[in-house]
Amino acid sequence: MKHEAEQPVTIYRARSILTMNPAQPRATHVAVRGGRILAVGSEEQAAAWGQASRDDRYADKVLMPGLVEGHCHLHEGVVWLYVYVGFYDRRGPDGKIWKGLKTIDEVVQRLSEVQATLAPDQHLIGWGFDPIYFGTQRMSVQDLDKVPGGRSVVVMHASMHLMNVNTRALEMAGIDRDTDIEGISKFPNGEPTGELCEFAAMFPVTRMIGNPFRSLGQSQECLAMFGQVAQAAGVTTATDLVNELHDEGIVSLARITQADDYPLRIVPAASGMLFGRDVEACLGKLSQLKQNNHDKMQLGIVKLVVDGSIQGFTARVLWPGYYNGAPNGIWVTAPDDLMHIVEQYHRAGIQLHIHTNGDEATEVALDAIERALTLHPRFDHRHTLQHCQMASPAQFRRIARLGLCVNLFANHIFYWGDAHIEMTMGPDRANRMNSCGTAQRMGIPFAIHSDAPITPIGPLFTAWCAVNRRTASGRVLGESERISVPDALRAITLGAAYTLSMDDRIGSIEVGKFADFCVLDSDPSEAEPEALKDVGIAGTMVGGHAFESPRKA
Amino acid sequence: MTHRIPLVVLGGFLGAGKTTLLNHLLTQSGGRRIAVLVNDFGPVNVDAGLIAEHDGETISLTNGCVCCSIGSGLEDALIRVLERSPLPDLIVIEASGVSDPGRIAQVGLSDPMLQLETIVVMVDSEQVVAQLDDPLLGDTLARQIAAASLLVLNKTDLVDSAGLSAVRARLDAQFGSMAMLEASHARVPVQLLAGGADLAAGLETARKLDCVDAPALGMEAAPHAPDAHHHHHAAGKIRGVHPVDPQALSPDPDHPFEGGSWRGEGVLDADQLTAALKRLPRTVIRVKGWVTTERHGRVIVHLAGGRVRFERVSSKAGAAMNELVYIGIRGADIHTAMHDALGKLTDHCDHPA
Repeated sequence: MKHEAEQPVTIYRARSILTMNPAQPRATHVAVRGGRILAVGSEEQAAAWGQASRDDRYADKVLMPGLVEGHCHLHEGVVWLYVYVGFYDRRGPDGKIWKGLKTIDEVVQRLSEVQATLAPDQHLIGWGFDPIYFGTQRMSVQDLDKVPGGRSVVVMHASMHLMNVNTRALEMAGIDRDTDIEGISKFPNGEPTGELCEFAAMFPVTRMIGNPFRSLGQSQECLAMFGQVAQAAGVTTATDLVNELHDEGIVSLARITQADDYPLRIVPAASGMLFGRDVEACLGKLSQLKQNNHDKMQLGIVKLVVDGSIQGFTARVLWPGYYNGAPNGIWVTAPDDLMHIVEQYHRAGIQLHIHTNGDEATEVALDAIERALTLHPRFDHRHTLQHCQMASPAQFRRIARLGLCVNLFANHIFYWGDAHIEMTMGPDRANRMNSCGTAQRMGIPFAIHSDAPITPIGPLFTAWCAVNRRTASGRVLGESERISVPDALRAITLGAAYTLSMDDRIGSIEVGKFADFCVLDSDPSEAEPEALKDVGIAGTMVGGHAFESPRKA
Repeated sequence: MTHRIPLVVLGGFLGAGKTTLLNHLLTQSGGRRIAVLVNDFGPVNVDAGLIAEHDGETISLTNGCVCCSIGSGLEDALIRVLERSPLPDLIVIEASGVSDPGRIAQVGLSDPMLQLETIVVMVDSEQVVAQLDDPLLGDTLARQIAAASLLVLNKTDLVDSAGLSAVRARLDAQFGSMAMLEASHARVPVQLLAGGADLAAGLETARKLDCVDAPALGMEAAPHAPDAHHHHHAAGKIRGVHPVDPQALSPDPDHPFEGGSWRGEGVLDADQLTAALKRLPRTVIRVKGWVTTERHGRVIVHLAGGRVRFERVSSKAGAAMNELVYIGIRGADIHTAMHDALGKLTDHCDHPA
C-alpha cells in the first residue's frame, strides 16, 4: 500500500455541504484521501493539501453526512426474496417502487401475477400485509384461494406475528376446524379463516416453508439486497440489532462488507438473549469474533430485550394499562435476571442496547442500570434504551440523570399512531409516544429509527415522522413532542452515531472522519417540514466510494 | 397407536427446578431417545462421560438423547429437532422462566408431527406465594400456573407442613382444583412426563383384561363403578368406566396417578364430545382413545393441556366401541368425573340396532 501521504486526494464540490458540525455548519468543498475526510470548507481550504483531482459530480447536489440507521435488521434483505403486498409504496433493492395495495383484491392480483413466475414446487410467499388498514375486513382463505396455480400461499403480516394462508397451505399444515388452539381465526361455521397468529398457530406453516425470515440474513444475496435498500435511502451505516454470532455468519458478513463495492458499514449487536444468564459465554464469543472487525463491520454492542410490542399488547405497561383492557404484556427477560445480566455486561465495559417498549419495562431497565452504575460507576457508558416508546417525563428525567441515550421509534407514530389512540394507549397517553421533544428538551442524546423490516428503512421519512408526528389518518399525535427539522436531521446522523459510540468516525462531515456522504437533490434543512420525506436521494458515498441510487421505476 | 412424537412442555420460574428435572430426564431416559430443548446450556449438568458430541447448538449423549439450545429461536430449534434422523421418541421443551408454557404447548396440538402430552409447571414451594404477590411477576406466574396440566410443588423439603398447607390453600383459592404433585430436588417420577406412553400401555392392559375377564372388571374392581345399566352388554362388551391398576400404568409403586378406561357405544357428536372433555376437572390430566363421531367417522381423540384434538388415522373402520383411556391424580375421583362427563353422550347417542 502506498504511503498515506502519497495517496491521491479528490476534491468534491457541491452546491452546499450540510456538515452537521455546528462549529462549521456549511461548506462547499470536501477533500477526500484514503477514504477519509482530509479537509472541508471553502475551495481554498479544500485545496490546501496540494495536488488533488477535482470531481464535480456533486456540483448541483447537496451533501450531508451519510445517514445512520441505529435500529434495523438484516432481515430487510431477506424479505425481498418474496412478494411485497403492503399498504404503502415500498422501494425494492433494484430501486423499483412496489405500489402500495389498497384493497385485498389488489393483494390477490399481485400474488397471482407473481405465482406465474414460480417453479411448480415453490410456495408463494408474500410479506408486509397489515390488516389495520382494512377496517373490519379481514383477509381469508376465500381471498387467497383466488390465486391460481394450486400452490400453497402464505402472506406474512408486517408485524411478523401473524400470517394469512390459503386452503392448500392449511391442508398441508394439517390445520382444520378441529385445531383447538389460540391464534387460529375461525368463521362462524367453525372452519379456519386462514389467519394464524403467533408461534403455535404459525409453526406448522413456518416449518413447511423453512423459516426463511430468520435463517437467511447473512447470505450473500440477502446482504446485497439489504445494502441496496439502505443505500437507496441514503444510509451509509446500519445496525443489525440482534445478531446471533454464528461463526460462519460473522466471517461471511466481515468478508462481504469489506469489499469496496459494498455500500454500508454494518454494526451487529450481539444477542444477549441467546446467552441468557451466561454472560461470560457471550463476552468470550464476542471477543473472539471481534477479531473480524474492520472499518465497515464493527461488533461490540450487546442487545437485550425486556418486553414485547405495544401494538401486539405484549409490552409491559404501567397503570392504567392497556386502553382496551387487554391484560399486561410479557417479560422477555425477567426483571430479576435483567438486573444481574445488566450488571455483568456493564462491569465488563460493554455498551448495552436495551429494548423496552412499555413504561413498566423501561422502569425495570432503569432500575437495573441505576443499580449497575451504583455498584460500578462508569463514565460515558452510553447504554441506550431502544424503542423506549412510552417513557414518562419522570422516566426521561431518570434517563438524563443516568447518562443514558434513547433511540425512539418515530415511524410508529405514522404506521400505528391511530391504533395507539384507539386501542393500545388511548387518546391521552398516545400523545407521549416516542417523545423526541422531551428528549431534546432534557438534553438526552437520541436517535430515531425504522426497525426495518418492521417499517421501511428511510431516515428522512423517520425524521419527517419526528418533525410532523402525523398518523396515517392525518391526526397529529402530541404536537409538543415535535422537533425541528435540524434537530431531526441531527438525530439521523450524529445522534445515531453517538448511540453506537461511533461519533468520532461517522455522523458529521469533519476532518478525520470517514468520507461517508448522503447525496441529495435539495437541501433538507431548508425543506418545509411537510416535505422532508420527499427530498430526493441521488446516492451515497462510503469511505470515498460513490454509489448511485438505483433508478426509480 | 400413532407416529406423532409426544411433546412435554416444562414451565416455571427460574429457580423452580426445571433444569434439575431435565438433568434427571436426560440421564434416566430408559432407552428412549429424548430430545430436550433448553434455553441455556449453562446449568445443564450432564456427566462428561455421557457426552458424545457438542456442536454449539446441540449436545448429543451416548444414550441417544440430545439437548438442543433454543437461544436462536424456538422455531429454529424445533425445526432442527424434527429434521433429525432418527426422530426422537419424546420431545421436551423447556419454556423460559418468564414465558407462558401454555402458548408454547399448543404447537403440540397444531403440528401434525407432534402430540402434546402434558404441560408440567414447576414452582418453588418456598417462594411461590411471594412470587404470586409480586407486582411485577405475579401475573406472569399466574399465567404459567393456569396453563399447567400438572403442577409440581418442588422444594417441599424447604417448607414445613403448615407452610405447605398454606401454599396449597393459596393455590386452591386462586386457581381452583388442579393436578398437583409434591416433590423435593425435582424428583418427579420421570415416566410421568411421557403420559402418552403410559396411556398406550394402560389401554393395552385394559384390552387384555377385557378379553380375559371383562365382566369381572365391570363392577367389582371399580370403586367408582357406574350405574348398573352401564355394564354387561352384547358380546361381552362393557360400557362405562373401568379403573386400571396403577401398576399397569407404571412399575412405580408410589405412583401418584391413577387411570382407567371408558367405553360407550354409538356415534358421538364431535362438538358434544369436545365440550364434555373440556369440562372435565383439571385433575384428569390426559385422555386419549378411539371414537366414532358424526363428523370424522373413526378417529383418535386427545385431551391434553385442557384442549381437544382429533387425529385422523386411516383404520379398518367398522362401528367399533368408543374407547378412551385416561389418567389423573390418584384419589381425586377421576372415574366419577369421566363417567359424569361422558355417560351423558352415550345415553343420548344413536345406538346401532
